[in-house]
Order: sequence, then structure tokens, then C-alpha cells
Amino acid sequence: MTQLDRLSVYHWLNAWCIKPVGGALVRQEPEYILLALMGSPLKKIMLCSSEKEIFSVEEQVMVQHSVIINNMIEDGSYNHEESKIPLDCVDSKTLKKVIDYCTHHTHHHNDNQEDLEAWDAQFLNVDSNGLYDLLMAANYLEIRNLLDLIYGTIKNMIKGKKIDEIRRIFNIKDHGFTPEEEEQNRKEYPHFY
Amino acid sequence: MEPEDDKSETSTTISTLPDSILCNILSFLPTRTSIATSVLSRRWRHLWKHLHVLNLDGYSFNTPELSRDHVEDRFVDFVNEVLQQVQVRRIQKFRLEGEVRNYSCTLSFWIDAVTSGPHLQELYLSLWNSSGSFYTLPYSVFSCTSLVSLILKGDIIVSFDNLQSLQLPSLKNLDLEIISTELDKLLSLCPALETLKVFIFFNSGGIDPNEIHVPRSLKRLTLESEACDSTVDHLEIHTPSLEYLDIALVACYSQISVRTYPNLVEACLNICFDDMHIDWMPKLLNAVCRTKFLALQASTTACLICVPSLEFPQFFCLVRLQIGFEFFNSRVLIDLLHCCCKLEALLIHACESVSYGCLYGEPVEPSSWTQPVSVPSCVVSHLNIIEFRDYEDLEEEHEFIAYVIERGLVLKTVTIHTRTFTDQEIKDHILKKLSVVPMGSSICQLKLD
Repeated sequence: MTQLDRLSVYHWLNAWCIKPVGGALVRQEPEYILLALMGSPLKKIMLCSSEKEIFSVEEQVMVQHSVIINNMIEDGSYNHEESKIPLDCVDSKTLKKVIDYCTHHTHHHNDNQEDLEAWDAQFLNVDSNGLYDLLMAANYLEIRNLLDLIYGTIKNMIKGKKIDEIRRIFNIKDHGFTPEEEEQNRKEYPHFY
Repeated sequence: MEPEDDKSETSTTISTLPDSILCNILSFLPTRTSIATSVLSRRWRHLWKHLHVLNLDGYSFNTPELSRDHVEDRFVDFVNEVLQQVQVRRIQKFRLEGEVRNYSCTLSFWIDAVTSGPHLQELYLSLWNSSGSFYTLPYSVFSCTSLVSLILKGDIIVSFDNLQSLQLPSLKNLDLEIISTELDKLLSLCPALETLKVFIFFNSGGIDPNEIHVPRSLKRLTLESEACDSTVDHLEIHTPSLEYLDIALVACYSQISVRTYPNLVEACLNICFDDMHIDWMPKLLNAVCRTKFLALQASTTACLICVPSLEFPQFFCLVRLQIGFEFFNSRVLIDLLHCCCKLEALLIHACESVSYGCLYGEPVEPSSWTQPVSVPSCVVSHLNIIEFRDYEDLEEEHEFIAYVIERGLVLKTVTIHTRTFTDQEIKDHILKKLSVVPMGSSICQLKLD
């Protein structure tokens, strides 16, 4: 049996709707509980970033969030003993963040809305490069709730703002219009300038 | 979000993202704003024309200088222009809200255009007409085979002369908050429906279906009707996959037909009964007996109190109970607790306002605390959270809390909220009264605010 920490066991038992009563679980050794319940150890899968760094993550966590990974596991093209899933367009830093997001949302899905939203806001407190990388990764892996979260954030950078402000936020230094065109733009959308 | 450092040439700008992603960003914006982004830079000039999602907001065209008709004309011109520039047949989501006074025909033309495309998945219409006339939805909506979600709000009428060649085989989500519809006919077109939300404006004298059969595929049902003007002969909810049920009704159905829902996760009942329909209460309780979360609004509880002989089914799976009272009644609460052997969380709302008074039976005598004969088993073995809202420090309320604190062996938190007491001294006094009760659970925390 692989080494499992107490926290993983707690979460696994949670997933099977077995609730510890009166704090009793804390005093037990995880291995004994598992023997008693005759369950299988937490299944993990390996994800490989573009920088060839390997990340081990609970299968359940990724399958719940990423349509792409779910499909890979379901159609049997992933072999647990040997394979790792290569994600060539996601770098290590971004992949780690994506795994963080999925793990938190799986383990805390019973939390109340406010706590989850606060965590999400903190999670997205990154620079714009990081945000775009996350967006691309979430798009590639098809993680719906992360995508909606990021799109929502970006949408708020545009809505209600003036053109110059949006250009600054998005780092659009050269808009590529001729002075005549820009003049025309101002006339067409005066409230935007 | 930090603004970008101008010196970093290697930083990614948003414009390096692919077209499809930028278009997705635009699809979350009102279409008017999306079009305005065409002046951000050359890259963004024509992006909006590839949009598959239209969010058309007629209200945003309101300006104080222009008359209503003029505003409408501007909106109509705008939408016509948009529909010419985008690929109408590729539209996936179409959302329009506004006031429709003079342009019903044009509106039908637009709806026909988007529903003709094979990709339309979501249609959302919120139309209000201050001059009193209603908009009749064109038939093209009901033969849109790709439609997955249909949301209609406002002064809209759905009616059918005949159902020939009408079908909504992909429809999973239907949300109606409209004046009038032939609900049963509409539901018969949706064999795959999973979520149904209907708010019936009975008062407007609109809806007159005589029977309502809810599709068998349904997983989530929200049904609300105001005070009853017309009678429905039969409401049938035979849905073996039902996971979520929320009904707020005045009993104006002559017959209701329910089954036990084995997959039910959450049920919320806000029901008022009169003499003729009081036999529904046991039917409905039995139907929801397998739910994990149950919320009983004050109207429903009032009816439970009026019928002392009512036998509750065993709620084998119930983990969280939320119960509202117009006037706190410990007898009914204890009776209910006896039937929830696995209950972990109990939320009591003591002075909830009642949507409809109880029309059944005699007025209820004020109740008082009587020591239960036996302790409900959930109190001893499972109950770990209690929340009491609008605590008035009545004797019955105090006795109930004290009873549960003393016998609750696994209680973790007991939180009491008061509204009427603002004086800290009184609050401290209440807390003190409860703190002297011997606690059955060593980890129990008592909080008052």
C-alpha cells in the first residue's frame, strides 16, 4: 500500500460519504481504516508540463474538472502503470496553478459560496501574463468553471471602461490605426473615448 | 491586476491570444460593447463579426433626450445592422431584452432568422410592453431542433393551434416567467427536459391548462404559482430522475400525482392547503422522503401544525433540515426530528412571514413546551449544527434549545440569531441562561448574535 497522508484519507472517505463521528477518525491510523474498509488507494495520474516536469495529481480531481483528461481516462488511452499525459502547451508554473484550482474545488465543493468566491479571487491575483497562460491552459484542458471564472474577470476589465484605459490594461501599445481612422473611431463611439 | 510595465517587450499582450479566445471574451459582453472593441486596435477591428453569441439590450439605448419611439427605432436599426454583419446561421446564443412597442413583426423576423440556423442552443427573451399588448412567440422557436435552453420572461404568450411538426428534442432547460402559455402542450414537445422552472401568473387570469404533465426526464423542478384564480384539474409529477424539487403553491389543483423520488437531493416546500386538499400533505411528504436536504417554509409548517394526526414518513437520508415557523412550535419539530435518524444540521427560522395563511381548520392554539417521551435518535448520534434565527427568548424556544444541548452528544455549534434584542446586556443574559445548561457534547460551542 502506498504511503498516504491522513488528509488524503479523510478526503477520500468524504467522497464516499463516510463521515467521521465526534472526531474519532483523527485518532486512527489511515492504513487501518483503509484495511477495514477494503477500499483501493487513491488513484493518481501523471501530468507532464512543456518543461518536462511531472506532476502527480489525484485522478478524481482532474477527471471532475477537465473534459479532455476525463475523455482520455474513459476511452482507456491512459495506462495508469506507465503513462504520463503530455501537456506541451502548458508550462510548469501554469500547470501547478491549474492543479491547485481543480484540487481546491474538488475538496472544498461543499464550502459556502462566499468562501469559494474569496478563494477564487485570491487565486486569480496574478499578472496579466499569468492570467492569459491560465486562460490558454483552461481552454486546452476544457475546464469549464475555471474558464468562466477567467472570462468573467477579463470581461470586467472591458465593461464600463474607456478605450485608453482598456488599451493600457491589455498592454496594447500600438493600435495600428492611421490618425484619420482614429479620428473616425472617435466620432463613431464618442462615449467610449 | 497590475498594469503592464511598458519596458517589458516580451510580455504577452492580450492580442497574442487566438481569435477564438478573444471572441469568447467578447461573447460575455453586451453586443454593443463588443462592437465598440473594434476600435481597440487593428487586430480587434473585425473580431466581433465572428461572434456566435448576441446579447442585445434594448434598455441601454434609453437616453433622456429621446422619445421612447425614437429609442426603439435606434435599437431596431442597431440590431438589423448587427444581424447583417454577423453570420446569423452560426449564432449559438441569442439574448434580447427590452421594451417592445412597435416592432413585434421585426422581432419575429429576427427570431425566425436565428432559429433557422442549425447551431442555436440558447434563446433568452425578456420583453416588456408598457402599452399592454403581448408578444406572441413565433412557431419557428418550437421547431428549433438544436435548442438546449429556452428562457422567456415578461409579456409573452405561447400558444399553439396545432403541434404538427413541432418538436424540441434537445431542450434541456426551460424557464418561464410569462403571462400565458399552454403549458402542457409546450411540455409535450420536450421529451429530454432536465430543468423546468415555471412561475405562473395566475392572477393575470392567463394560464388555463387543465392538466400539467411534467416530462419524465426531469431532474430539477421549480414550480411557483401565486394566488389561484383558475383551477388546474391535474398536476402530474412522475419523474424518477428528480434531484431537486422546489414548489410554492396554493392548492388550486384538483388532483396532484406524485411518486417517491429515489434520487432526490433537495426539496423545498412552500405550500398552503385548504380543507379539500389536506390529504396531499402526506402524499408530498412521502414523495420527498428520500431527500438529503429539506426546506419547509412557514406556510407548509403551519399546515403541519394544523393536522396533529399527521404521520411523518421516515426521512432516511435527510442530512440537513431547514424549517420556518410563523410561531415556533416544538411539538411538530420534535415529531419531525424523530423521523430523521441521520440529521446533521438543523436550521430553524422562528418568525418567518407566511406567504399564504393556512386555510385549513381551526385557528391554532399557542403552543408550549412539553418534555418529549423519548429523545430523537438523531440528536444523540448525528446532530452537530443547530442554527436558530429570530430567537425571541420565549420559554418554549429556550426549553427546546436547552433540551437539545443537554442531550446532543456530538453537537459542534449552536448559533442563535436575534433580531429584536439590540441591547448587549439582554443578549449576555440570554447567553448566560443557556450556558448553564449541562452540555452533552464536550466540543459544543454556543454563539449568540
